Amino acid sequence: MRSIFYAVDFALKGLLRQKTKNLSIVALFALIVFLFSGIDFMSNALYNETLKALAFQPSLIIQDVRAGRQVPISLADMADIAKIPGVSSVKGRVWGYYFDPFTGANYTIVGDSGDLKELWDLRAILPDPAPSGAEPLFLKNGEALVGEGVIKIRRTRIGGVLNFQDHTGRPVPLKIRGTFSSNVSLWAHDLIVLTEEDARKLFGLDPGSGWDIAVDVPNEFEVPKVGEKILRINPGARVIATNQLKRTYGSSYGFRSGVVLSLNITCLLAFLILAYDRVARLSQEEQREIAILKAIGWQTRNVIRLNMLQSIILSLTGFLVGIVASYCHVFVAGAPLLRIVFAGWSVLYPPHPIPPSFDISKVFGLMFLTVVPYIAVGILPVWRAAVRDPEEVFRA
Amino acid sequence: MIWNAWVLGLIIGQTATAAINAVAFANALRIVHNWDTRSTLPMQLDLEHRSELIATIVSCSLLFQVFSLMVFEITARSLAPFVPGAMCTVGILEAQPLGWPVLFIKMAALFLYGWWIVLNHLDNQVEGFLLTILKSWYLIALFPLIVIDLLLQIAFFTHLDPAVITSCCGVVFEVEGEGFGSSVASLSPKHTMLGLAGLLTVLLIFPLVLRRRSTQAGCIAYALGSAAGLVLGIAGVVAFVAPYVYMMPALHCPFIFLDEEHFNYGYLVYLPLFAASFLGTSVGILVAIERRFPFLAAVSHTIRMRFVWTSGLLWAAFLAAAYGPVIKFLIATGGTADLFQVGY
Repeated sequence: MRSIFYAVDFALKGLLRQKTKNLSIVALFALIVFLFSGIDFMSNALYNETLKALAFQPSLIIQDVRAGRQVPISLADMADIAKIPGVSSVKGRVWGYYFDPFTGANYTIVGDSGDLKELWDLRAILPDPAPSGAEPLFLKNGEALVGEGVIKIRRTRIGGVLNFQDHTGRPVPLKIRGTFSSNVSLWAHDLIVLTEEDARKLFGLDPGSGWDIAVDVPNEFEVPKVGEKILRINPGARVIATNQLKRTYGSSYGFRSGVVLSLNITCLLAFLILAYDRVARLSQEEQREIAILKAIGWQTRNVIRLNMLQSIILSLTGFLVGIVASYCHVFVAGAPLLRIVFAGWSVLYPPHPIPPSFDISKVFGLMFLTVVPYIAVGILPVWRAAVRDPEEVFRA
Repeated sequence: MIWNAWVLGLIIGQTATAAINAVAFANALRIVHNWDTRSTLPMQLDLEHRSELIATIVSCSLLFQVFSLMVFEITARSLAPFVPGAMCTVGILEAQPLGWPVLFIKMAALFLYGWWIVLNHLDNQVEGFLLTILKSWYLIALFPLIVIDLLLQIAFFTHLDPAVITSCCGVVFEVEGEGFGSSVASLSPKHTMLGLAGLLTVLLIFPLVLRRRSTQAGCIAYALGSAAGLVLGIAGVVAFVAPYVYMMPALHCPFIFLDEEHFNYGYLVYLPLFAASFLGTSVGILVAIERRFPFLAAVSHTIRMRFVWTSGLLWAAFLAAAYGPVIKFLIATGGTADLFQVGY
């Protein structure tokens, strides 16, 4: 134990003799780890958000499709679907996206006259609290509940009016009655909730149809069978199971992070070449140091061991700095450098905060990606320096 | 194909390992061709230096391989949500015929690297580079395994299809089910518990006996016992340790308890098990070397006695880790309940 302590002490003192060189390696290493881990943190956090949001989605979503494109679905089949054994509730939904030409952002519009708590666990924040709190929250025509992101980007306030246009260009004024908070920050951020009637007016949707039908099936094992029976009722429909969505989102985020990481591999390679160069071209000073050590009786393997220890100290320090910096960048600063890759139609999406999520076992994976190649690259030059004859170095 | 940060990290790390091993392989070839301890040419000095390089590379590779095994398991676990039917590592390994082979190759590589380092340690204790040729041949034989490990791993991840339904630990380790995993899970928990406890007791007493009268035959018996300990240990984990950790008689999965939800308890079980059986089997290898090179007997004897002691301690640690959950269960229920009677 004591010998390890002495070895670390000796290695550290050796490193401190070459402050600029070693600090620059630590800084570069930290930068590489920063790049790699930022992407990982971000895709993980977004995926967790998505999972949280999907938990409030129905088991099955039915859309009508013509020529491969989604069209409004007729609500006439709803009664038949509700009769399928295992189905607990069926609901036609009126919702969609609204492009706001003034801000260049896309909002999500949901037309729902029902209780908002059912919808994505929303808690309305109203300026004047209702006299009896237990009463479910209902909106009146011409009123809207608006997500914080929308309020911020339109520079308005509760009580203000949002002027939207329907598909024919007629104005639809909406009074902001309140905003809401939700556990699912990602999804509630750009959300606008209207009455169903207002939403139909905005989208130009006739009363007999909706954009999709939400079907709840409490028993997860019955979901595929119910899906099949719905297809028998409406053979042209597209049935989406939430479970399937989870997997698709998972592989999509995984793929995106994989693509960005692949681009970053060039950085990693450049860094490794630099690291190789740094170790391979030892200064006169360092060569003399190794030669003196060998002259006083150190064996080649002791010298190699010392150098490996130094590499490990350098890379772990850089690793720690990089991870901490990346955590602050993603979860404190909101990942200004990375969000463009992940947020889908990100340019149009109002900026939103990223909730922290950190998995300690991820650190092992990152270490394998960065520390292992760094140490591997150093072995050969270190050995080359360690086997040089001391006499040769002294005479040079 | 599933392409995410974990898979990428694993492949890059493994490629780095294979690349430095290629350097070691080339040097080993040069050594076996030109090695001549009587020669006074600069070439021989150069080769002796190169043997140091190989030793460094293999030591690092062992470290990387330990990492690689852990990261492979974590990667597989992290992919589980994307493959229908998979709930944990087992589901991903089952999803593709290469899954289990990759895992087993990685485990085998740990032992093979470890034994090489044991040989190297022994060689460093004496003058004269007695084992250098043997070590070089050993490395030449080991190199293809590392390349295969890398290639199979890449093939495994590229052919992993998120559309194919797989079966998970509940099916693979189902009691009374079909397949090898199921037959291990169907072992009677009580008999496995007694059998493993018996073997471990023997392995704990053996070092005390060997300390008084150390014979080569005794050491070989100890090595064989350690190998049996590894096999029976893993069988025991599946048959009774895992169910007691999860407190579920039907859940025999040997991977789930490696995750954070179970406080990574699995590492506490597997680390001593692998380390103990590795040191135990190394004793047998040292005896084989002693027979071949009688000159090394004195040094080798010291090393192997130290291994016997350390591995004895590690077997004790494994015993504690494996039977801890059982004892906890017995204390919690006052010794009256039987976990495997509750569920059925």
